[in-house]
Order: sequence, then structure tokens, then C-alpha cells
Amino acid sequence: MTNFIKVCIFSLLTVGAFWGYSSFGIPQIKPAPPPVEAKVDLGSMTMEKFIALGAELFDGKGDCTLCHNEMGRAPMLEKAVADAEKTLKSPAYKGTAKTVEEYLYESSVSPSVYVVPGFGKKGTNDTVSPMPDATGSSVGLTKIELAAVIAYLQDLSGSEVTVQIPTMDASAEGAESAKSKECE
Amino acid sequence: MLTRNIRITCGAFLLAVFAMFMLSAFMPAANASEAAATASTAVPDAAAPATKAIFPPAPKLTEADYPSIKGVNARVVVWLVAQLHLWFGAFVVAVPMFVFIIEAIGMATREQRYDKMAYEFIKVTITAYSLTALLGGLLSFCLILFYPDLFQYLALIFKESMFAYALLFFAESAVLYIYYYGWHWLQGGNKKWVHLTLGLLLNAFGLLLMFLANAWTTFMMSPAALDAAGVFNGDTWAAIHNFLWNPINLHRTVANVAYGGSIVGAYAAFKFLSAKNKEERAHYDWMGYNANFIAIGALLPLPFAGYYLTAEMYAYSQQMGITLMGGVFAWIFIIQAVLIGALFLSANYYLWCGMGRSEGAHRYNHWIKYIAVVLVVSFLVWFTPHTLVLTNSELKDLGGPYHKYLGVLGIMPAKNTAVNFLILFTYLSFMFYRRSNKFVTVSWAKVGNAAQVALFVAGSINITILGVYHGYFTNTVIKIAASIPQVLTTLVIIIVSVIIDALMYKGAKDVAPLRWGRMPPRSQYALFLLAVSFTWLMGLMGYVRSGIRQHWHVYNMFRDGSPDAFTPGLDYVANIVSIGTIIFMAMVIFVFWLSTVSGKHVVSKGYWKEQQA
Repeated sequence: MTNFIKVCIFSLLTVGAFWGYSSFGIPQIKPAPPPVEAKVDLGSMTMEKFIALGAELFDGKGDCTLCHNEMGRAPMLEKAVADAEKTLKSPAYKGTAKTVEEYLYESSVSPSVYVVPGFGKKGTNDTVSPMPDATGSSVGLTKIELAAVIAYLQDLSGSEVTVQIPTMDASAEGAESAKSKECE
Repeated sequence: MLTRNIRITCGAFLLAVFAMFMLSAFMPAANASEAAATASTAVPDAAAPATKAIFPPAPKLTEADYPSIKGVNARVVVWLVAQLHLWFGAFVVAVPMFVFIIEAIGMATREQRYDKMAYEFIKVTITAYSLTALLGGLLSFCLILFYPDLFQYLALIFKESMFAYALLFFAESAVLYIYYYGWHWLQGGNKKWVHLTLGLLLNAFGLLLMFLANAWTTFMMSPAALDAAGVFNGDTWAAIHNFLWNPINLHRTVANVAYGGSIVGAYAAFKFLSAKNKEERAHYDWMGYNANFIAIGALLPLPFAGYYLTAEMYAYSQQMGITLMGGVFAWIFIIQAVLIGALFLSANYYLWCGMGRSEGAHRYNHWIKYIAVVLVVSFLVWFTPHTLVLTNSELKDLGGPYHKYLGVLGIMPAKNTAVNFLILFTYLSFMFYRRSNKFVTVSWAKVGNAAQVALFVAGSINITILGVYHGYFTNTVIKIAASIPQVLTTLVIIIVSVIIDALMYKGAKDVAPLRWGRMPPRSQYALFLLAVSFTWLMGLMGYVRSGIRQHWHVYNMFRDGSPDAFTPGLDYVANIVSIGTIIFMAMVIFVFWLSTVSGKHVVSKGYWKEQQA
């Protein structure tokens, strides 16, 4: 019986040690709740607000910064417009976009049309992009949200924002709020 | 002896071939789906028009669609029950694997102690098997009750495999009971072969059951043959053979063996501590040693299986991979490092204590402190976090969130280096243990030892250089590239060293008979630490595997609309995993106690009529 009790106490202490370390020994990250359905009021939308929405989506729901960061997993987008202009002039580009705005849209929904050299999936010789379709289910940006992100990227690059604020009723499209998925 | 060994080898081969045929026969809809399999594995739109119409799209649920019971948290209940089922399931799938091998060793060597040990292992499994089934049933009820739409959606897609699962469960039960209750009946000659065949069948059924259940869970992570609306348009095989199925199958199979070894090790430790005489202590010491050997043997390749699984997750969805390793789940891998560190340290400590059984161990004892230093340093590197949580002033003093030199210890090249050293030096501990009671007799022993030292030194330098180069001098995208050459280096060192050792110690003389039972009681607590750490680790990683879907029932296809769709914080996770571990360990100790009680025979004087007469 003594051994039985000793074994029980030892097991409890071990579990307690792991519990204590996990609860108090490392930083407690509070994940944000899942994104919820919300209405985007396009009636009162200004370009500033639209760009700000794009910035929120870029850091949050769009998950763009998971890869487009200084870690080098995907190209940085501070100069997205200048890079896009170069790409459009490149003979290697075989897509259908004629303008920067079209190129940014195409890169978001069909990332493999043109893969920036060095950023393709391993073993594909830069013919397949690891990026998902931004409007697909894994990211799930609506067309309005994607337009906001493109407006933000144009603004971030210090270029003229050519994206027009959509006039359609956003609620019909079921736009989701741009709440970030994680916050520390 | 040679003829018998050849017969046993040929027999085992034939049994394996037979088992392979049995597996394919039980694989649901395998023949009908071969054509679809190639087209529909990971491609959502691979259509099979004939079946398309019968599957509904993924439902869009709201909180009202989830039944609730006042005072009961549905997610916590399902979480705990699923995890308990998995712990017991892992145990009962794993134990027959090494019972089969131990029984075969007993047949080959004709040493009955192997047969007795195999029987004792399977005896513990019997009660655990019942608990696995009960928990599986409870889990099904909980899913039907609390998540009816999800269950219906999955049941429609997996109806064939679920039905096959139920039938296979009957088959496995029948084989298990005949295998266990027929142990003493099916002894000697051809009967023993029949018994061994039953053991093989038991393993085939057990693994097949696990693979089927894995398909359901991996489908939720990497759904296959679904269109954009979540309508399933493939067949059973397409759903089963989803992108992460094989990586999980491999990882779980290896992990289960390690886990099963650790639990029966705890059983042996419990019995060792309760032993009434020297013989019992010797028997359970030997049993504990074998259990630890099994646990370590499977633990060594486990990190590689884990890396393969993670790499496949990245390949399936970079978003999922980055969320796993760089997002909210990243800190869990620091906890994982601590737990795996505890596993390695306890397994090594047990081996070092075990050297006390031998009279010749003093020749190697002085090396242990150096091995301990390497293990502790590797452990510290492994659990160094990448991003430090700092105050503003600390951040200013440090010049950023990462330390100039030590920050690199937080990323994969350093961690790969650390884990490879943990594995290598654990192997070294085992090699010293094996050698401790032997006198080498071959003339080329010095050359053999020199070759092994050279192998270890060169390999260690190679692993270190690869780690330092990829850690400090390459960009993020190719940092992971160090892992494969590092793993290959470790494997080469171990395999070549095993070959040299086997040749060098062939015909070696024993220093003295091993003194089984000469182990301090504290060594047995190392086995308990191994079992508890493994259980907690499995609970934590089980959460990660499931939690990585975040607010999706079926990743990116079928959204979780319940009030519990949020990703919980780590303290919450630690609470649930700890509660689960305590419940599981209590049930396991109950199983151990039952196996002790079943062997007791009390003579009640004067109770029965016959005795009164």
C-alpha cells in the first residue's frame, strides 16, 4: 500500500510539474476568437477607411504576414507596386494582367500564374506557388476585402491608389470583419 | 538450432504475407476505388459523378445547432473522452506488436522467460482493451449527442469504413480473446505456430482499426475529394487516403510502440516495488528493462516521424504549417521539448542505474557524467524559445527580441542539432549498458573501438557544423535543410556502430551473471516518469493535432459554429491535459491493481460446505 501511495504521489507531482510549467513558466498567449460575420458599411466608406480595412485584413484575417515578413518565406510587399511594374515588363511573365492593380489581384487569386523566382514550391522550379487563393476557403477574403488589401498595398508602396471603393451592398456578400486571428 | 531458426524465419515470412492479404481483404471498397484513388487524394475537385448527388454540402451551423446539457461543457467532455480513448487505444494497439515479437523470440531461443513475459504483457492489455472499447462507445455517444451535424456529415462520407470498423472490432476482439485465453493451451509444436499466427492477425486487425480511425481525423485536417461547397465527390478510398493519412499512420504507429513500452514499463516498476521476494524482483526488473528498451527503441526514430508529419503539413497547407510552428501553437513546442527532454533523461537515467546489475560496469561509469552534460545541454538548447517575452527596457537592453548569439538556439537548425545529439548519446548510453557486462574477445577490438570513436567524433562534428552553418549563415527558407543530412548522419553512426558492436562482441564472455533485481527503487520512478511524461505529451500533441484546425470542424470546409469554436489559451490546455492524464493514470493503476488481484487466491476456511465437512 505504501508503494501504491508513493506511486500515486509521484505521478501527481509529475503531472503538477508539467501543469505548473505550462501555466506559469511560459508566456500565456490569448488567441483571438474566430472571425465573425460583420457588415461593411460601404455607404460611409472613405478611401482612408478602405485602406485601413485593407491593413487590418493584411495583418489579420488574410494571414498575409504569416509568410510576407522578414523571415524570407515570401516576397516583402512594401514595394509591391514597383515590383509588379517590373514583373509586368518581364518576358518571363505570362499572365493576363495589364495594370498593377490587375496583377495584384491575379497574384492573390491565382498565385501560380507568375511565381517570383526563388519563392516557388520546392521541386517545382518556381512554377507552383505555395500561396493559397486569397479568396478560397482557407483565407476566405471576399472581393471587397481583397480590393481593400490591394488598395492598402498600393498605399504602402507610396503609389497612387487606383482601386475603386465598391458600391455594391457588402452585406449581400457576407463580408467578414477583419479581426486578427491571433494577438499576444 | 540453425534449421529451427530458418524454419521460424520462413514461417514468419509466410505469416507476414498471409497478413498482408488479410489486410487488403478487409480494406473497405479498396478494389472499387483504385481508379479514383490516383485522381482524388488531395485534389478537392476530383469528381466521381456516380456518387456526387448523394452527399450534401458542408452545413453552415450556428450555436443553436449544437445540443447542450446544462452544466456540461460539450467540448471538454468530447476532448477528454477522445483523449482517454486514444491513450488506451494506443496502448492496446502497441502491446500486441511487441508481444508478438517477444513470443517469436521465445520460440526461436526456446527460453520460456520470454513467453512468460509476453503473456504478462498481454494480460495487462485485456482490461485495457475493455476500457478502450467502453471509451470508444462513450465517444461515439458524445459526438452524436453534442455534434450531431458533424457526425452525420462524416458518417455519410465514411459510412463504408465505419461499418468495416465495427466488424473489424468484433474480429479483433475474437482474436484477442483466443490469443489470450488460449496462451497456455496453444503451446509447443504446431500449436505454438497457430498461436503466433493469431498474434499476427491481432496486430493486423489492430493496425487496420487504427488506420481507419486515423482516416477520419486526418480527413478533418486535410479533406480530400471535396468541392468548394464541401460536397464530397469521391469514394471511400479517396476520403481515407487523404493527404495527411500516411504521415499520421506512421507517426502514430511508432509513437504507440514507444508509449506502450512506457506503460508496461510502469507496470513492471509497480510490480518491482511491490515484489515480495528476490525472484519476483528479478523478474520484474528484467521486464522493466525490456519495456524501457522497447520505449527507447521506438522513441529514437519518433522525432524523425514527427518532422515528416510536420513537413507534410507544410506541404499540404503552408498556412497550416506556419500557424502550427510560428503562430499561437508555437509555444506548445517549447513545452514539448521539456517533455521529450524528460523522456530522454528518465530513459537514460534508468539505463545508468541498470549498469549496477553488472560487475563490469565500473569500466564505463566515468563516461556517464559526460553523457549527462551533453543530454542536459541539448535539452536546454531544445527548449530555448525563439521569441522572448520582454519588457520595453529589456527589449532596449537586448537590442531586439532576439539575442545576437543565443537567439539562433530558438530556431530549427539548433533544435535539430540538439535532438540528434539527444538520440546519439542515448544510443551511447545503451551501448555502454550492453558492453558493461561483456569481455570482448576478438583480436581487432582496439581497431573496432577506434573506428567507433572516429565515427562518433566525425558524426558529431558534422552535425554541429551543419547546425551552426544553417543556424547562423543561411536565410529562413533553407534553414530546415540541415535536418535531412543531420538525421542521415545520426542514422549512419547508429547503424554502423551497431554492426561493429555486433561483430566485435560476437562470442564475448560475460564478466559475471547479470544480477537482475539489483536496482535501487528510485530507478523504478524513472520508469513512472517515462510513462507520465509520455501520457502528458500525447495529450498535448493530440490537442495540437486537433487544434490546428482552429475554428473548423473540417479544415477550410466545414466551420465550427459552436460556442467553443475558439482556440483556447495554453493554461486552459494544460488544465485539460493534466486532468486527462490524472484520470488515465488512475485507470491504469486500477488496471495494474486488477492484474495483481487476479493472481491472488484466498483460502476461506470453513466457508464452503465441503470445507465444513
